[in-house]
Order: sequence, then structure tokens, then C-alpha cells
Amino acid sequence: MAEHVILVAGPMGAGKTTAIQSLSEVPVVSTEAANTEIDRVNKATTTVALDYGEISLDDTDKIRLYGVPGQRRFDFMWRILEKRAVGLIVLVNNDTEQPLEEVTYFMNQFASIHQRGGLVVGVTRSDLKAEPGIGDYLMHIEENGETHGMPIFTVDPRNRDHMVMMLFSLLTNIQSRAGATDNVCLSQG
Amino acid sequence: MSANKPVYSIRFEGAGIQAQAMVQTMLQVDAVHVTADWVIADTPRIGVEIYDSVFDGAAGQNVYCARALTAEGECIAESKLPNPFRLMQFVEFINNAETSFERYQALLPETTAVPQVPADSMSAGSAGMRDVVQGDWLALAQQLRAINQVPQTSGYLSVSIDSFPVATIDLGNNTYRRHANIRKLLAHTNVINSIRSHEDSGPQAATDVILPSDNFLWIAGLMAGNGRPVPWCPPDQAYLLKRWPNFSVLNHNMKMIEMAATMTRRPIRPKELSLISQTGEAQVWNFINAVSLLGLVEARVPEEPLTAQAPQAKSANGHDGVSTLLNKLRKRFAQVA
Repeated sequence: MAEHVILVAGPMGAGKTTAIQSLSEVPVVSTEAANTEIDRVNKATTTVALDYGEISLDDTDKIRLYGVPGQRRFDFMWRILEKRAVGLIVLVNNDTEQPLEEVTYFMNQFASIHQRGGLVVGVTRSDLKAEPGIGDYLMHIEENGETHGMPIFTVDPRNRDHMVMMLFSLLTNIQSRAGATDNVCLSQG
Repeated sequence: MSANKPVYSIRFEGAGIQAQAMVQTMLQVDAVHVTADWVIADTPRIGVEIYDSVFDGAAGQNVYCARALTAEGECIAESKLPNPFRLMQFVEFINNAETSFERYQALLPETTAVPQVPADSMSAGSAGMRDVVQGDWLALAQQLRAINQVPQTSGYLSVSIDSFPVATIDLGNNTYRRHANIRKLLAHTNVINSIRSHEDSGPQAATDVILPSDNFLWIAGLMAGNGRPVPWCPPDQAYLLKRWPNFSVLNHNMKMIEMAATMTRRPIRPKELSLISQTGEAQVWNFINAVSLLGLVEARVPEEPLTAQAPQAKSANGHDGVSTLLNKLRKRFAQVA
């Protein structure tokens, strides 16, 4: 059985657990605990270890979805998971204090994945706060020395279609960056 | 059959065995030219129905009549196929049907209302634009493009057919109201007969759906060129996608995601993109037209001359796994869909 790991990361309250619940075909194994940072993010519980979900592709392949805890004190776990990951979905809630900085933070934390095109960003809760827009995110990313081309979408983590679209975009982007489909020549006329 | 392609059916209504056999053979030959999987079916489903050939006085020959039907049985296009027909006539017929279905998909009603307002999307006003404009999708796209280039803040733009409003764009809020009549656009592809700007929001109905204006620009862009480049997209240029379309608010398919991934990496010529993504050139142009109307592409003079011949698919080490994974994922979710 080949297993492919996709990570879902992002700040607390971005919807990582919900996103995995939308994608997973098995009940999500979650490690929720009471939120001790309720003054910062208004939610009763938060993930303290990992969320886990999976998508079976056929008899031989399975996608394992790991939601990594948003609090930075758990970042030692990111290193462990990063080595095994095919790609990373970063979710950032648009109504958090510094959403632009959150994105570049995770891009830097998972630089090796990002450099091979394995990172896609989903901006959540933009229905509650429209600004910053996608253009602002891209501008911020480029100001931080990144080239364009990273997929960024506004998404609702409860919407399975949005999550599937992100997953496809992530893998298609990795494939394209790897050059798998980039050896076509044409004749002139 | 490829799981990542849409599946459309061909159903014969009285047409003879010989026509069916020809179609079956041609579908196999044509497999690389079409964007969908076409299957012969006995039961009605989304696809085309081909009726037994009759003499057509206008054409001066026998023709098969064909209708493109949606899953709801709605006829969205009609065409004729000569009897007998050649391969290229059949390819053109199939491609036209695919374009009709693509348009139909682009106009499918959304289930969610205004999920978000892209900050950098259309923002313009109605000042100086109160004339009624007669035209087609291209005229509409040109007007939308012109509006986008003038930063203003308020006003409405309504699109009507036969005096029925089909869409009203709120320029100030980057949204548009999609009226139930929008389905008329499908049957009247090139005869939008009123594009009008005004100050008030116009009549509203309970069935109207409010969506981000990018969604309407996307539709107009997909329709504007009818499979060919719009005037502001020169055919000899290479195109770089400056950023991914926000697919969560745009009707899209897997091919569009593939094209976006390829176009964000480097400037690419449409013909090359067609080969890489194994998508018909008409669909490639519809995509380029749409992303250009959203202001997401940059046209550049191609750096390298066109050289050899045909696609040479090869797999490099390291991404075979991702390609396989992607294929299986497509299959997995195509089954669900």
C-alpha cells in the first residue's frame, strides 16, 4: 500500500480540522483540547496533536491527511511531518490579526515543500472580512522575494468542492513544476 | 476512457446502423482531439441526440440533425451533420457540442451567494457609459474590459436579451445579480441585444442569485472568442498567467486547473498549451480569453522558435509518483461526481 501524505497547516482557527473532515472518507481522528488561548482566538477547543483523515484511491494507494496544530509551540512536529509530505495546504483565516504574515510564515517554515511547488493557500472566512484580497496576499508574497505562481484561493473549508479543487491544484502544480508535461515541441505551421 | 474528462453521450434516434458504426469508429480516431469522453448510449443523459438523416433543401443534401441536451433534457444547441460525413466534419461537430456544454457549465447556477468579494477585481462606475450597446459576447467582454481599465466606484451594467434582463452587474460592490433568464444566453449566443449602464439597481426577483463579478467576467471571457482569440489576445504571443484564477468562485474543470499550473510557470504559446494539456485549441483560447478578461495574463513575444513536431510525452524521475497519484485522485473524485 503506497501512502501519500498531505499536510494541512495554518494558524489556529483557520479551519484545518474542518477541511480534513470535508475531504476524509473516514471519521477524522482528532486531538482536540480546551483552547488555552481563547483571548487570541475565540474557539472552545483546538487541535493539540494531529488531526488525521484519509482518502483511499484504490487497493494500492491512499492519501493520508494530517492537520498539524496551529500553535507555534508545536512546530517541532512540523519538521517530522514535512519529511514525509507530498504537499501542503495552508489555510489562513482572513479575519485573523496578520493574515499576510501568517502565509509567509508557513511558506518559510515549509520552504522545502514550497520550493517544489507543493504549497497551496486557502484564505478562509473572507465572507466575514473581505480585505485583504488575493491580490494583497500575492503582493505581500512577492515583496518577500517569492516568485508568482503559487495557487491562492478563497475557500470555505466546509465546502468539499473547494477542498477537492485545492487538492487537485496542489498536485497539478507539483506535477507541472516537476516538468512532467513540459516536453512538447511544435512545428512551425 | 479517462476519468478526468467529462463524459457525454451520443444517442441515435432513428439513425441507421451505418451512421452509428461510423460514429463509433470516428470517436476512436478522434480520441486525442476532444476534451471529453464520448460514449454511445441508449438512455438519455447529457450529450447529443442524432436524428435520422433527411433531405435538407437549404443544404441541398441529406443531413443528420443533432441536438445537444443537458442532463435536464434542455436543448442548448442544434446542428446538422452531412450524410455521409467526413472525419473532420464529425470532429467539428463534436467540438461544437463540447463548446456548448462548456458554456452551459459556465452558466450553471451557483449554490452559494457571494462567498467573498475579491478586492482587486472589477471596480468601475457608470459615468459616461449610459448608452445602450447592441452586440454579442465579444462586445460585452470589450465593454467590461474597458470598464476595468477605468477606476471608478459605482453604477450598474445590465445585460438583456429580447428585453429580458439576464444579469445586472453592481460595479461598486464587485458583484452581479444573475437573473433566472440567464439561460436565454445559451440559446442566443451571439445576439445579446442590450448592454446598458445605469445608476439604479433595476428590478430584482426572489430567484436572483448574487455572485462575485469575477464570475460574470469569467463567463463573458469564456464566451467572447467562441474558441478563437479575442482581439486583445494576439494569436502569435506566449501567455503567462500572473496568478491563479480564484477557482472557488468560478465554474471550472480539471483541464483549466492543468492549464493554470502550466501557464503560471512560464509564458506559453496556445498551441503548445493545447498539446501539453491535451486540450482542444478552442478550449485553450476560451480559457486564455477568460483569464485575460480577469486581468490575470501577460502576453509576451515567444522567446524560442517553434521547432520539432508533436507531443513527446516523457516522464522524468521524481514526479511519476505525483502523476500517478493525480490520475488516481481524478478517478476517485470523478466517480463521486
